[in-house]
Amino acid sequence: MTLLALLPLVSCVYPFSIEAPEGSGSMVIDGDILIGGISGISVSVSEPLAGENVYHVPQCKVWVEAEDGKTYNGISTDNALYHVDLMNADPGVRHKLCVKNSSSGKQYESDWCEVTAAPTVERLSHRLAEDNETVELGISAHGNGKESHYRWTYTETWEYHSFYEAKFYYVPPTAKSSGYIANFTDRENIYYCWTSRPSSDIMIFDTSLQSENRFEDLDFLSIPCRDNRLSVLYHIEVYVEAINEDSYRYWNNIRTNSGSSGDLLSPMPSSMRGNIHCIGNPDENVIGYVNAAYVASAEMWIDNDKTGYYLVDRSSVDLPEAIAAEDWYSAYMYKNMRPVDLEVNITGGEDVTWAAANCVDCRLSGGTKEKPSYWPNDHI
Amino acid sequence: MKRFALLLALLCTFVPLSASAGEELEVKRVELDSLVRFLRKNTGRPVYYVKDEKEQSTFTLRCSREALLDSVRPLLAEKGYRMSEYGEALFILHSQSIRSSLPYGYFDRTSGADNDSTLRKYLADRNMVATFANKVYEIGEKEAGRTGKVYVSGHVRDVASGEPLVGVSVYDGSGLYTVTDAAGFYKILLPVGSSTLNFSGYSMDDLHLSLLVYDNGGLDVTMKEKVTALKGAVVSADQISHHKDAIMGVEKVRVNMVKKIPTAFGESDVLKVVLTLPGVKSAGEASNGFNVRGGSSDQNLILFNDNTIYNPSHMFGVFSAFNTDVISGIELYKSSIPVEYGGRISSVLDVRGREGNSKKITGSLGIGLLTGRFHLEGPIIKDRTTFIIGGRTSYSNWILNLLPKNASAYAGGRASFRDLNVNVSHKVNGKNSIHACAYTSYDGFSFSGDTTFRYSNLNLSLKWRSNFSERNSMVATAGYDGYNSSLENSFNRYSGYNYSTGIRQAFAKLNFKTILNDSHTFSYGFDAVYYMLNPGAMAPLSSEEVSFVKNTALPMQKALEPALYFGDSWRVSEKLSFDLGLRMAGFLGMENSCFYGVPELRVSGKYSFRPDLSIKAGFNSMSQNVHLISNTASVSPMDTWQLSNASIKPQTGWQAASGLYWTVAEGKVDISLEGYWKKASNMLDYKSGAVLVMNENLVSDLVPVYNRAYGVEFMVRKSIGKLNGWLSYTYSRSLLKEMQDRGPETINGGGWYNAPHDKPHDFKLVGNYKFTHRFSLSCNADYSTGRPVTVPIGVFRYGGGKRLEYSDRNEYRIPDYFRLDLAVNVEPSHYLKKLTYLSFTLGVYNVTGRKNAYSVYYTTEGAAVSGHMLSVFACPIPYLNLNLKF
Repeated sequence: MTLLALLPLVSCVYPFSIEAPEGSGSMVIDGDILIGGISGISVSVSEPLAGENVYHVPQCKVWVEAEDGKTYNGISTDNALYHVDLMNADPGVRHKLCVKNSSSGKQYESDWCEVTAAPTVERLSHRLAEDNETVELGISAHGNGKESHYRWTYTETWEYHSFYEAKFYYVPPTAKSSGYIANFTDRENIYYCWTSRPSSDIMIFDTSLQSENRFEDLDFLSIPCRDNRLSVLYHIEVYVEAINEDSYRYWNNIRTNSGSSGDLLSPMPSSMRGNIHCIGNPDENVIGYVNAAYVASAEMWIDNDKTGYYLVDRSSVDLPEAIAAEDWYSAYMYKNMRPVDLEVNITGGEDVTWAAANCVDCRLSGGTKEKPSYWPNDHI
Repeated sequence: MKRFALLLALLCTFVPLSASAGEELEVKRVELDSLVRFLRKNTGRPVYYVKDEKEQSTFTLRCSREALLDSVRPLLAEKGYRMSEYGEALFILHSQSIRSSLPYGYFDRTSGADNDSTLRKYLADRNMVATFANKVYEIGEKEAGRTGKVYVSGHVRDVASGEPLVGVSVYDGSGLYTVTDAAGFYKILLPVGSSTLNFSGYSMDDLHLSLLVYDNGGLDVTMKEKVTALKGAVVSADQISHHKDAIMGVEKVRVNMVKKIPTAFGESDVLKVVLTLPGVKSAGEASNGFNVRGGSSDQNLILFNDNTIYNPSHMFGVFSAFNTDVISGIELYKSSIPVEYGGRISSVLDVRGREGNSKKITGSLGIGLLTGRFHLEGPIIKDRTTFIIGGRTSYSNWILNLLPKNASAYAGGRASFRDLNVNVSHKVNGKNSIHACAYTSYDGFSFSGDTTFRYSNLNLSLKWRSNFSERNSMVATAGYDGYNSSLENSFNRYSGYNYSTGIRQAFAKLNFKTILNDSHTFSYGFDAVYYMLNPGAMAPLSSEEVSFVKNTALPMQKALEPALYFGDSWRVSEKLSFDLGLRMAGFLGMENSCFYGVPELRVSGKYSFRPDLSIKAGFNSMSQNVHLISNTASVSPMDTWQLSNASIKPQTGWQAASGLYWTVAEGKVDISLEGYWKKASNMLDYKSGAVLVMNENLVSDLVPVYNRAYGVEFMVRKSIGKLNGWLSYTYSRSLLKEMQDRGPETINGGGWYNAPHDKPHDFKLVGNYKFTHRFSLSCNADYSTGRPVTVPIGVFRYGGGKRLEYSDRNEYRIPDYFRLDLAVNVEPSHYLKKLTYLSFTLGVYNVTGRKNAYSVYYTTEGAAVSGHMLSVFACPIPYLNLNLKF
C-alpha cells in the first residue's frame, strides 16, 4: 500500500473483472493430522470465481496411515467433513493422509509427515490499542521441538444482548383470536444471545531468524470497541501447532495470494504445490498441505464488566415509542417492530412501547439462544 | 603575425564611413564593425572584436587622434563592451561574453593580464576561439609545408556560460565527421588546404567555419543558442549523426527537452522522458525502473557521471533520482552498446552531469507541488575551476497530514526524500582537466505506523581527462558507488526487526582513444569493478531493549569484475563504415573462487545510399553478474541483489538489430525503422512461494530462465522548427521460459510466458509547439497494451476461509493504458536586464482523466470474491512549477 499512501488524493479503486475461464476444479484437501486428537478433514473442489457454494466431494474414503503400519480410518459426519480419530497415534512415527474419491476412483496421498511437537502457549493477552477504538488480542508462545514456524487458528464465542430487554412479546391475530401482548418468561427471553465462529484468517509466524524460538504478545486479532463481541462476555480458544518450513511457505503463499493489496511492491501472486499428490498422475494439481502435529491450545475471557472496552453505539437506536393497541398489528407486520415495555401515559394508564425488532431481538444480530455449556454466567 | 595580417585583410575590406586624417577625428552613427575599422586605421594597431549579435547600437565619436582610445573606451562601455589591450593588440569584447572567447591555452598563463607574453603565447599556440562564420581561420604555420591530412582539435563551448557542449556534430563537406565528447572536445582529421568545418547540434545555431589548414592545430569554438527556434526543445540526435555513425539504437535527449515534458507533479524527470522513447517500457506509472527492448529492469546500466546508480528513483518511482538542474542530458543505448560499457545485458543509460558556469555565479530555485529544489554554480577560479551544487527535498508530508485521522489506512504515513549533487571541474591546462563528482540521496517512507522503508545512494567519482597528443586522448576514472536499503518493522515489541541489504562497489576505468588515420579510430582500455554485496542482514530494532531477534547477516558476497576491451570505428568510405569491438569480461567470485570469462562482441555497420538515407545492422553480446532478485511487479526496496557464484551463472544475452534511417523535409524530419531480436540465458526468476528475504539458500528458490524478445520500432522525429518532438510506434514482445524442466512445478508448464513488462503495442507522442519566444505548449501522449498479470480463476475454501486459485503466471492483462498530458511553458524575456528571471510551467497530467489500471487485485470478503482495479492517477492533475533563476 506504500504508493497509495503517497497519492491518496488522486488514486482510486474501481471494481474490476477479467474474463477468465472458470476454475480448474482442482481437488482441495484441507486439514491436518492431529495426533492425540480428532482430525477434521474436508474434501472439496475449487469452484469458479463467481461461485457461491463450496463443492464438497461426497463419499470419499479418508484415512491416515502411520509408518508403523497402523491405519486410522475416517468417518464421514456429513458429506463435507471426515473425522479421523488419532487419540492413540504414535507421535514417534511418520504419518500420511490418504483420500480416495469413490466416484472418480482417484487416490490422493500426502507425503510422509513427521509429527511436530506441541508448542507451549504461555499467554493470551488483550489490550486497548493507542487509538482507543480497538482491542488487540495477542499471543505468547514458545516451541518445544526443532520447528521454528507456527500456525494457529481460533474459535471465538461471545455473549451479547439486544439493546432493549423486552418484557413482552406480541401474538398476532389469528382467525380465532385477536392480537395480544404476552409476558416473556425468563427462559423465553430474546435479550441474551451467543455466537461462535472459527477463524478465517491465516495466522503464521516464523522465529527462525530470532535468537529464541518464541514470540510474545504478537497481535493477531483486532476487535473494534463498538463490536458487540466485546459487549458482555467474550471467549477465545486458540489452537497452535508447530509446522515445518515448507508448510509455512505454503500457508504464507496462500495468505499473500488472497490478501494482495494491488501494490506493485507486493509479491505477485503465484500458485504453489502442496505436499498432496494424485497417485498415478503426479501432474494433477492438488491444493493442500498436510502437517502432522500435536496441537496446543489456550483460552481467554474478556468480560466487559471488568475491562470496560465496549463503546455503545447509540446513533442507530431509536427510543421506544408508545403505540396504541389498534396499531400493534401494523407496527408488527409492516414496521417490523416488537413490544418492549410498559409506560405510564398522561391519563395515568399504561401504553405498550415498541422498538425496532433488531433492537429487541438479539437473534436478529446473528446469534442464537444456545448457550455454550461451559459459559460461566447465569444468563439464559 | 601573418595569420593576423590575413585576418585583418579579410576584415578591412570596407572603407570606414568617416575618418578625418587631421587632428580631429569623427564618426557618426556607425555600427561596431565600422568603428573597429576606424580604430584600426587610425591607431595602426590590430583590433580584435566579438560583436554581440543582439547589439544594434551605433556609435558617434568626435575627438582628437591622441585622445582616441580614451574616448572610445567609455563609449564602448556604455554599450556593454570592454576594450582591453594585450601588447599592441586591442580586444573589444562584449562584457557578458568576454570570458567565452578566451584563447586556447589562455589558462596556462601565469603572469598578469597585460603581460606581452600572453599575446605571444596566444599567437604561438596558433589557436583561437572561433565564433564567426565569415572569417577564415588558419590552422598551423604555412611554413610547415605539410601535405595529406592533419588533426584539428579543440573544445566546443556555450558562448554564454562557458559550459562544454557535448555531442555536437563536427564535419566537413567531404564526409569527415566526429562528435564532441563529454568534455566538449573534438578531434578531426582534415586535409591540408582550405576546408569548411561545420558544427551543429542541440539547439545551437549551426556554425560553418572556413579554414585554411597548414598543420596540426587547435581551434576552440563557441556556439550560440538558437534564438529563433524553440529554446532547447530539440532532440540532440540530429539528422547528421544518423547517417554518419555505424552505431544504432541510441537515443539522446537534452535536459531542456526533459524540462518541457509534462510529469505528474511538475517536477521535470529524466526517467519519465526515457519512458517516452520507443522501446522503453515500465511496469506502470509511478513504478521504479524501466525496461528496454524486453529486458528486465536490472539489466540497465544506469550511469550518472560514470557512477552506477542502483536505485534511480525517489518515492518508489514517483520522482527520478536525477536533479535536472545539474544534468546536461542523457544518452540511452538500446542496441549497439559501445565497447567501453559492460556489466549489464540490456541497455546503458548515461546521465551526464553539467559543469558549472565558468564566468559568473548563477543559480536557481524551484518550487513544485511536492518538492523544492535549488542549484548554484559558478567559478571558483575564473575560467579554470568551476563548481555546481544542486539539491532537492520533498515536503510531501503536508499532503499526508491532510488525511483525516482514522479514516484512512495511510494516516500517519510519511514519505520524504532528499538528494544532493556536487560537481567540481578543474582545468589543469589546455590538455588536462580533472572532474570530481559526488551524489547522495535518501528516501524514507513509512505507512500504517509500524513499517518504515529507507534507501540511500552514495556515489563519488574522480575523473582525469587528457588529450595528451594530437592523436591520443585518455580518460581515467575511479570511484565508489553505494546503495543501501532497509526495512524497519516495529509490529511487535519483541520480534520487531531491521532488515537491510546493500551493494557497494569500487571501480576504476581507463579508456584510450587513438585516431590512427582518417579511417580508423581505436577505443581501448580496461575497467574493473570490485563488488561488496550485503545480501541481507537482520538486527533487532535499536529502540527496543528486549528482543528475540538476533543479529544475523548472510555472508557478504565479494567479487572482482575486470574487463579488457578494444574497439575500432572503421570508416571504409563515406558510405560504408563499421564499429567493431571485442570486450573480454571476467568475473572472479571471492567466496568460492569461481571464475567466468565471457567474450562480448560488439559489431555494427552502416551503409548510406545517399547522404540522407542509410541502413544499419548490428550484433551485440553482453554478460551480467549482478542480479536483482525480486518477486514484485516493480523494483521494491525489499529486493536483494545477488552476485554470480558457482551455482548462479552469469546472465548472457545477444541482440541482433537492423534499421533504416531516412531524413526528409530538407533535414528537418528523421524517419527511422529499427527491428531487433534478442535472446538471453540464465536470467533469474523466482519459484512460486519463494522466500527472498534472509534466505541462506536463495539459489534453491530461483530458477534460470530464457528471455526471448523481439520488436519493431518506428519513429518520426522533427528536431527543428516551431513544432518539434517525436512520434513512435513499437510492436514488441518479451517472453520467458524456464531453462530446466522441474516437472509439474515448472513455471507455466515449461512453456514461454509473458515477461511482466510485455506490452506489445506502444504508441508515444511527444510534441512541443512554440507560439512565441516566451510561450510554448507541450504535449505528451502514451498508449500501450496492458501489462500481463496473474489473476484468480477460481476460489476454494481452505484453512477456514475463501482462498484464491490463480491462473498461470502472467497469463492475463490489465486494461490498455492511455494518457495525455499538456503543459504551457512561460519563459522570461531574453532581454530583461533583471537580476532574476522567473519561468513557470502550468500543466495538466492525465488530461482526459482516464482511469488507467495501475494494478488489479482481488479480495475475498464473506462469500463474494470481488475484483478491484487501482488507478494511481485517476483524474486530471493540474500542477504549477515555478523556477527562479539568478
